[in-house]
Amino acid sequence: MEVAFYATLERLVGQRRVELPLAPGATVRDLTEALAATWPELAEHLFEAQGELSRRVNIFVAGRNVRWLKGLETRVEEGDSVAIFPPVAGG
Amino acid sequence: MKLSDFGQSIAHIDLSTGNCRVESAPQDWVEKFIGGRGLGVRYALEAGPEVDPLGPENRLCFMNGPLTGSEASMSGRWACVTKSPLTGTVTDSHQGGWSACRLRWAGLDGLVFEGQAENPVYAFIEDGEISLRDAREVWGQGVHATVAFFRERYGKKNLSVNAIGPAGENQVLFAAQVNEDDRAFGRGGTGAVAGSKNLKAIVIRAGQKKSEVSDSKAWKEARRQALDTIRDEANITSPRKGGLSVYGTNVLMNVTNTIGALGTRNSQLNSFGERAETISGEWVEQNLLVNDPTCHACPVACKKEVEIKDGPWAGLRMESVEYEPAWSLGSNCDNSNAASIAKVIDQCNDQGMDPIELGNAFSVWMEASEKGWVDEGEELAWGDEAAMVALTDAVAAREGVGAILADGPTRAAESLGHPEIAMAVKGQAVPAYDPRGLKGMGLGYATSNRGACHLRAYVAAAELGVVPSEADPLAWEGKGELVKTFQDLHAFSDSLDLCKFSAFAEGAEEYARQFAVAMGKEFEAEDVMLAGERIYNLERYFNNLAGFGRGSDTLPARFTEEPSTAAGSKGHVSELDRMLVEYYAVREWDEGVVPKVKLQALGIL
Repeated sequence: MEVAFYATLERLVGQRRVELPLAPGATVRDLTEALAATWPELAEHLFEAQGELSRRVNIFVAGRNVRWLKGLETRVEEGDSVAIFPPVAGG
Repeated sequence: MKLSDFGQSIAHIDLSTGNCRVESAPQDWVEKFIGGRGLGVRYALEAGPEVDPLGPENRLCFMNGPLTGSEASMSGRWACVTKSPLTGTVTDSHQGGWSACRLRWAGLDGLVFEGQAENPVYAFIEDGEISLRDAREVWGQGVHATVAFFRERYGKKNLSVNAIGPAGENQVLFAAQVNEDDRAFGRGGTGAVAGSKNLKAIVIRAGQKKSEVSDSKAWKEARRQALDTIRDEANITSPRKGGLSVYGTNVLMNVTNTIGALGTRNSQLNSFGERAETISGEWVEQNLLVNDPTCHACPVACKKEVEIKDGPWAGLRMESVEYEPAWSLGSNCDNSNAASIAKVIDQCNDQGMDPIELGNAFSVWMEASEKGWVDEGEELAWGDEAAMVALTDAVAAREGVGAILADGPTRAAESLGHPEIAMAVKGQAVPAYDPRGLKGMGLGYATSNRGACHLRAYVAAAELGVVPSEADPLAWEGKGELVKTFQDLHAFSDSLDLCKFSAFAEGAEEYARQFAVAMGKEFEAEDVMLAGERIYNLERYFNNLAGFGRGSDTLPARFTEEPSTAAGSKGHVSELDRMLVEYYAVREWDEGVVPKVKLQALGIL
């Protein structure tokens, strides 16, 4: 599964796109835990202390912010794009 | 510089007679409308909402806010308010850099120009004195040459120059005013109004002044609390860490593309695919960035200077590839070359034009060309960078097709017999958020008092998950109240006048605390929202009197009838009618018209 990182999170990971060995149908929780295992410094951006999704990250599956779906329990289906951003806005 | 004296030094300049006088604003106005945008609208209303925007009766008002030029963070802004020649509504635009501060440090809180000079003039301001001087030597010059001319004459130190370029002189309806930092009063055609008055520039010489407040300890504490929120690493404003600080406004490009809210090919499409990456803030930061200077008292430094390294525009060093023009001249025109976007933005800064409006004028002409509605020899192909560069100067000069595009995309589309391809509201083109993928932004465009605008209600901050909220961008329910809240909050911050981006960290509490201490009076967060509501209603009252009645709050049918085809927003249209019902209810308006009882309740009548 391909995951794209943007803005300051791309800097932190050191690359725009990474491949994760997750099966189709895995959840965003599976995905974020795999990411945190590979890049421990990502963990503070991904999770609040209680293990909930952090306000400091926005994860999009097929263009939808999982915050408006089922959060960490959102399933990632085959062919879904996954994009991870820090909060970004401008004007 | 006693902050609580704000409003006591408003200069009135009659360009027809050359008379200048400085007097206090009515105390009632300062109390109700705060400063900046609010006070400017009140002065514009005094001229009459029915005036010809390009006639001598229209007022061109430059207003500082109570915090302008102080030590408060992000306080380097002033408002320009007038009746817009582009829309016929009241309009306000805000400029960063240092010009606003220098006006305050020179001892003035605002400038109200009216009349029309017989020959081109500039206003020279120093030590509270204003003189009108002959500008014929620089008439016809671009902004960059005009700034150089005045620096040669008066020296660079402590000097600000706010000027129009040829576009303003030729009354291009979306002409801007630009200062020595290439910061602009961008939208609404304030530069055309200056041009109609033969006002080439405002030149201010003043060194920094320290603020005086009655309680210096409280002032320091109020500012520290606000600065702490700006520096908080959880906020996008965090210096060198937050997305806005590291990449500038163009950090948005990849996220709006991801969610299917990046208008492409005149909003016929909703995503630019992988091509968005090469016009994004990340790409610019990695490939073109050379410097990131700041405005007065700003730790964020969102301005990102770039230098083009190769190709036909190699060597060009320019102020910033901001998100809005990167979109309007980029995906909107099917152009994925950041270098050509930078070139056209730089031309706009020099000619004095709004690149949002220009990009939309181009995309109208491109769509019309594709559909065979343009005469042979006048076509403009999608993504034709060389033609865009050439046409930019032609628009400023009103030459050839440029003369048609100089009146903006709405009139250009009407001239072709196809008004439906103008992506505009009340005559002003839409900015860079497709309302099918960010529904609150669509309601914000429709109900903006200056025509389509992202900055009257930046609900994208909520819909993109930047500030805590429950604002799913694809949901229409609840957007009426959300948009009203943002409109009122921003109306207040635009009147202080703090940078809009302060709202990514600060809120009504921080605004109230700083304003209260600066003015030496009681002022709470709820007073912020009430004053903002009053200002928003004042603008709407102006527009109602100017002929914008029921049914004026619209969106182009493309957004309400043609479903999105992009991932993230696929199948969605804007449910504008439903959102308007909610919005008018919370506003207590009668289908866009402010009832007399509401005006009375807010102290406007």
